[in-house]
Amino acid sequence: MAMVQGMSIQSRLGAERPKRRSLVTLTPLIDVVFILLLFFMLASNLIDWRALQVATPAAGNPAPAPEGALHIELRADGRLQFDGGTLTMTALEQRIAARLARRPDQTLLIEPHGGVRLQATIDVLERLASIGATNVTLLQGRGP
Amino acid sequence: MNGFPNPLAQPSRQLDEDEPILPLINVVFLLLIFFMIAGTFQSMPPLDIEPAAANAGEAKETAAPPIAMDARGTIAIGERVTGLDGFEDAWRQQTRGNTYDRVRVHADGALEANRLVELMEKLRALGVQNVQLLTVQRAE
Repeated sequence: MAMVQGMSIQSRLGAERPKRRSLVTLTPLIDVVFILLLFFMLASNLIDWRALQVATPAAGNPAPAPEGALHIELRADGRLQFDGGTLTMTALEQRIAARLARRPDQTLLIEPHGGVRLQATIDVLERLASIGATNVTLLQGRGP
Repeated sequence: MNGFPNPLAQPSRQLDEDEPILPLINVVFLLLIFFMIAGTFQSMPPLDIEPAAANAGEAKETAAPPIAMDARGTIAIGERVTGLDGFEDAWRQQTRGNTYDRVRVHADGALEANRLVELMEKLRALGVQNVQLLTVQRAE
């Protein structure tokens, strides 16, 4: 009885509004697009990597320094030591820029003391790269 | 959809039913295209690394396996995790005896700089001349 009733309702509805399924429906397409979207969102990364070029140091204690290289020490308290004096980053930048103007391929040796974090070292490398230093080497720190 | 009658939609009732979700599909397609174009497929190191920030130049391509070093000094060559002591052997195995002039190093910003220098000394002994320290752009 219920089935007959159901059928009659369906047929009446069908009579009012003829159901025409189109050959291509959108729903599976959307499913696939969603899955592709999820895949690309999870599998790809959007990080814009940058790079600082550093030459590898020769091993040895103390490491043999190339002739005429400028030696900069990074102290754990954040000060920089160069040419026997303690400098701020800005002062160091000016002095290095003057040396680089005379010799653009000047080798710079950066020696981070014990306890100096990589971020602090990279800050210095970044400033030196910005004034045109291309030949930079990190040295094993002997200081405290 | 946009207020204008679409002459192509006239004969089909199906399109009328689907019409409310069309803007959604448009947005999903745009997102898909964005991620396909803007994203890159790079293998991420198996270590937890908070890279240092610096405004530096472009990273140059290299065929060498990427090296990663986390804040505690643990090293990963590609997917292989090792310490500083076993680095040479692990490197020789991962590179199958090839030597590379330039390698990329992902290092954590909180790492003690001298640990990285130790790694670089080992790389020098293995024939690597240049290291590219990978950093992320500084937040403006």
